[in-house]
Amino acid sequence: MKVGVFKFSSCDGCQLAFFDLEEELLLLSEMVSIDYFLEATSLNRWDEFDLAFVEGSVSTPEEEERIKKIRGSSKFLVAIGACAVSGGIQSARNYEDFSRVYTSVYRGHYQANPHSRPISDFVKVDLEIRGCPINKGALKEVLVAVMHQRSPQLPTYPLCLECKRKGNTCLVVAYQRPCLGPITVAGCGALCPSFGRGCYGCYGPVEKPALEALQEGYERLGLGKRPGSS
Amino acid sequence: MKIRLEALTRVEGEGALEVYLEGKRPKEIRLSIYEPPRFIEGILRGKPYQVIPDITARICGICPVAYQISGVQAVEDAFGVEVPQELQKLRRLMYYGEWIQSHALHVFFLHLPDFLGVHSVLELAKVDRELVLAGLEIKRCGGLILQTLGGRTSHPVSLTAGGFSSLPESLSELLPLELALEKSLWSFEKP
Repeated sequence: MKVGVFKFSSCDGCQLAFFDLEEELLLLSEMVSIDYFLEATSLNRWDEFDLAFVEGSVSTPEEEERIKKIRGSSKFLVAIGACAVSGGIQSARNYEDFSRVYTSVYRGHYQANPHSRPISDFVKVDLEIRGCPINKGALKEVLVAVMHQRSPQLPTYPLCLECKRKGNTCLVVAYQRPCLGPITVAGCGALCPSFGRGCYGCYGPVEKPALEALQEGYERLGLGKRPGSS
Repeated sequence: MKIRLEALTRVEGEGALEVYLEGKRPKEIRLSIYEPPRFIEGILRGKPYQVIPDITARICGICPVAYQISGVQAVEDAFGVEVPQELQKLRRLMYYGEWIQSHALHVFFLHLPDFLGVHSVLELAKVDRELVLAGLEIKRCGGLILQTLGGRTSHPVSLTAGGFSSLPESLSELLPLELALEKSLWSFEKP
């Protein structure tokens, strides 16, 4: 099996999950052929890939072309992490005046699209691994599943279930603190609530998030609206 | 004569290199970083201070703690908040965790293959598995520090302006770190 790992607009954190596999990465390299992985090897071949992992969002004209080229060479394409799945933190600019964002930092000219987009806006994505960053457990599950031609078992339920199983005290119920757990997909091990803070949603929403119910609940607790907003 | 490397490999980030040769000597070397801008500084404008460390972390998945702490220190400066020494020391410990993890990654995964004439750490493991396993031991103990204090090895979640969202309940929670550090030293010192 030929595997490729590719980077787009991103922080490198999801590729790090491959390195986090540690000894299992060494084992993996004996079972599959890692043909393209710029961050890991200086020997890269671009041929056909059975399995392509893509980190990062599409935010430049060059990336728009490159993702199509990768799709054309890959049988099974996996988007890894929040950038590839939904545009990432850099997509915060999608909701702002781009010329202001563009000129706020650097002088000079460089290519950048006004919007940072998920790769599924440009090509068909066969599977998503959620998270910012993804965790190595999910990555391993996907690798094993694809190698055995079965469906990967990744959580689709809300974080609250994971949080309850850990025996955490609910931050919303006990301390009236906002938490995105009810609408965020599980998978991280309910990290933020375990560290005494509300989930900030880095794994992205569940399939049918109960947004209105959550908003109503928070408004009742006085958390729904910022002071002065209507 | 011109040598062009379309993509630099085994580096954090993306870049290309052009070397212009005059005979055998390089006359000019051009490094171009084509990594797309993500405008983190621009995005930060107008955001509530609480979200700053979670945004700045995403500058780099390999060294997020540096950006998280820079973010919280900027907020603390703005509010005139002084963080107690104990908390500063714990932040320092997180920094050390990141340094150990990131430097071990850099040395063993990214850099060492060049010195030993192989293409990757995966190839290196076939030549000298013991060395790679010892390197992994070091990387792992850096990761353990980050996981213990911040929940995960990249983009840990506990750093906030003013301190931490949650602290170890007792010193005994930190003892496994000492053991891991000693073990990683031993993996290099053993005969």
